[in-house]
Amino acid sequence: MNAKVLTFSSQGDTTILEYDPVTADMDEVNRVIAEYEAKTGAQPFDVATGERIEKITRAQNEVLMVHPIAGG
Amino acid sequence: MASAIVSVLVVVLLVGVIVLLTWRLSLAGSRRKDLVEAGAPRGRMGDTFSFGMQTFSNGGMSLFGNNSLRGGFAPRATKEQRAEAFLRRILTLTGATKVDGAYVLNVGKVQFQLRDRFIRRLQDPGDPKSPYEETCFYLVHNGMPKVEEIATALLHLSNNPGLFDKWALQNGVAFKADGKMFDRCPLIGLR
Repeated sequence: MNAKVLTFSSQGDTTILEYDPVTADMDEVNRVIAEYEAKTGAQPFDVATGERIEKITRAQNEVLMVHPIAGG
Repeated sequence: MASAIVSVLVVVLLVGVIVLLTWRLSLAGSRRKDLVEAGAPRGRMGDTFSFGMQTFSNGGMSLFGNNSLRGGFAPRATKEQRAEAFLRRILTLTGATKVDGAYVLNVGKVQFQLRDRFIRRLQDPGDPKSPYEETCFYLVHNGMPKVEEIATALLHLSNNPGLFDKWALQNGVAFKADGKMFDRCPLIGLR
């Protein structure tokens, strides 16, 4: 089963990356996620636990990129 | 005789080069396939946001463009239905409940009550006279379904309840889930 990285957007939940967790180059996956975070501020959460994660591993099958929030 | 030996050597050398090239090409292809095969991207990636990966060249994110939506739920579900389903998952994960139109999240002894772009924090939810603080909040990315905004705030607060103070004290300043300030909104056309 493929692993997914999702985010919330104006069109609802959207898959931004999908890969085979068994064979994927996880360094490359994390590089992509780091670049996404740098541009959007969104950070990865493990959807299975609801916890923020520093790096995506092969153990995560579904990751949600959670966008920044401002007060006001 | 010598020319025959040279010819054989040349043929062997050529075969060796061809085998080596074939092996290198197949290796490169399989490495790329590892990440790409499953098809990562959905839709077309805009110029404003490129991962520089081949996988994204014909893929994309609806966040930055009008791409067809592919969600993780029923194919005919609307974005609102999928958002509701996602919120239910987040409620389960965080232990939050919906009470009288508000989403109630308990973190330690503190209780957060979330409504549309509005959060109240109660220090002692068991005491009706308990002091409380309130703040508004908004996502730096506009336009996502309201329930996804709630789900996002629930995830933020359940992991880092101290974010409430930052939102309340620094109006208009965006914070990432780890509590660090995010100041690049203009780059992606956000407010």
